[in-house]
Parts: sequence; structure tokens; C-alpha cells
Amino acid sequence: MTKKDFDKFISQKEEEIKAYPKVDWEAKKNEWLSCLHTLYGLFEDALKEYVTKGVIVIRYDEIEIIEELIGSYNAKTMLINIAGETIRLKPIGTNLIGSKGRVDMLGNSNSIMIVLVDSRMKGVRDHIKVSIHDDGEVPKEEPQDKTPIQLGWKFVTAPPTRKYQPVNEETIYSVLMELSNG
Amino acid sequence: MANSRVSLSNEELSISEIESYYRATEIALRSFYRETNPYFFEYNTNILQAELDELIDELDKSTSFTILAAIEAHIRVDFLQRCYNKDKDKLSRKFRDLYKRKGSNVSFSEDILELWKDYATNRSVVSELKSVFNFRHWLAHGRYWVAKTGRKYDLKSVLTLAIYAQTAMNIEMGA
Repeated sequence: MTKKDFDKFISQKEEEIKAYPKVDWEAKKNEWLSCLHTLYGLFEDALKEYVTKGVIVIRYDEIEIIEELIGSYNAKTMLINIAGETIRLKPIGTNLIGSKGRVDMLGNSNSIMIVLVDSRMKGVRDHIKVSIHDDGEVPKEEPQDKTPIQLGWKFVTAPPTRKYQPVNEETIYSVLMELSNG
Repeated sequence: MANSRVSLSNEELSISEIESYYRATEIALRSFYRETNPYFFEYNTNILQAELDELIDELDKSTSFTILAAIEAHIRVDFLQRCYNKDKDKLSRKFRDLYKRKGSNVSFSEDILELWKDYATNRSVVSELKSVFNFRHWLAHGRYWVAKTGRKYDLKSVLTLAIYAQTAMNIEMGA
């Protein structure tokens, strides 16, 4: 190993640091927990009528989430009880591939993902674009979209389409029925 | 001396085949782990739930491992085909140079993925692939150390990455 190699190694490391600016993980965690609170609010609003009638019971537990770059923290998990059957909304974390947060909705017979993504996205495949280029040409990186991102919660439909559906009253009812025994 | 050709088996699984296996097994487990099942006569709800969670978690990890192995297989097959078919594009030429120098000792992460970084339509997907293979390494070697992977990886994130990789590298993986 020569000094030249070592110099190259050091300059590569410097480039890497410049390419990845320092991330405020505490702020990211707080944003994610705030969005989680918003998601639970959407479920509470949609189910309010049934909770009032006593046919649905909503309660919360706390779970510990460990994320390597954030550390350990607690988050609420929502438990929706419908006629003795419990459907859980389990928060997974924020430092994930393709989303700013994920909650797994677990039923007696199945499970479904809810992801926090750019609200303009229509599906998982929207995140990466295909570009056709002549052989031998290095493909150009997609230009960065400078428009501010508006985050939104979306249900991810089953494969192979994996489309995003907004979390609203209609989709909440539909998913609850899908995940329960009925 | 020329490198001997690898006999390709065509037995690599598509990502959707592996995912179907996971979905069927998950549904079967959830259907079996019900309070009404007489098999769990002496269980209380919490124990039943905890045992089911553990099994699903294990299924998640083993399926993630199978998916990562399949991703590697698809990318390695593409690499070998580019070497054997003598394609004229720049990446194939670079792959052939690499193959001449290293033969069967070509490293998946340090050689193949490193070259892909300049040719994929999204460089960060290749970087993410390199990183997720630390997770695969951890699974493959018995998980006896604390994994330092940066991100949290599980089946769903690995599946998402397979879709991104298929698109960014234009390699059909059945994702």
C-alpha cells in the first residue's frame, strides 16, 4: 500500500462525508412520531361512531423501537377490537427504504402495510424511474424535484401492483374487513 | 488460461415466487394461531400472540435471506451473460475485463456492484444494495454479532429494494 493509495482513500472518505450531510435524527424521529399520531387520528375519526356505540374498542399500548442511527424510543401501537377480534397497528420505524415511516397493520388472517410517503406517489414503483439509454452511455441521474414534499399515509395494495391508496374512511373500512375473519 | 464457464441451472427463484411462499405461510400461521383453535387450549391471549409474533418474525428473516440470495443470483447471472455473450456496451466490457482478471473470484459487492454504481439509473439503489448485503451476511452467518446495518431491514424493505434494483439495473427478477 503506497502513500498515493492512502491519499486516494482519504479523499474518497472526504467525498463520502460531503455527499451525505449531517442528519438530525432527533428531528426525524419527532416528525415520524407526529405523523404516527396523525395516522391514529384518521382511524379514530373513521371509527368514532362505532366506538360510541360500543361495538368497536380502541386502546393503545407502547412498544420499544430500536433504530441504529436514532437509538431506542417508545411509540404507541393501536389496538382495534371488533367483536372480540383485535387488529393491531404496529409502528416499524422511520429510517427505511422508500418511505419516511411504516406501520404494519396485523389482522387475524392477514397483514397490510401503511407507509408515509410523498403524497403525489401512486405506487411503490413510482420511486424509481426507468430511463432508456444507448448502449455505452452512462445513464444520467434523475433531476432532483425541488417542490416541497407533502407527506401522506398510504395503504400499499397487494403484489404485483403495489399501488398506494390514501388512508381515509372508505379505505380504513375496507382494510379492516379484509384483515378480520370476515 | 481462459476461465471455465459456469453451468447455469435456471433454478433461481423469482422475487414474486418467494413472496407468494411468504404470504401463504403467513396466512396459514395466522389462521392456525387463533384462540378458538383447541390446540391452544391452555394458552392465554398474550402468550398466543407472542408466540405467533416470534414465528412471523422468523419467517420474515428467513424469507428476507432467500430474497437477498435470489437478488444476488439474478445479478450474477446477468454478469456472466454479459461476459459470455460479448455484449458491446461499456458495462459488459468492464465486466469482461474483471472476469479475465478475477475469474470465479469476482466479489459480488466489491466488484460487480461497485461497477454497477456508474451504470444503474439510480446510483443510490446500488449503494443500498451493498448495504443490505451486510444484513444478508449477518443472517447467513448465524446472527451471532450485533448487526450494524444503518437502516432497519426486514422482508418488506428487502422486497421494496428488489423492485428498485430490478428497475434501476434493468435486470428482470420477477419483482
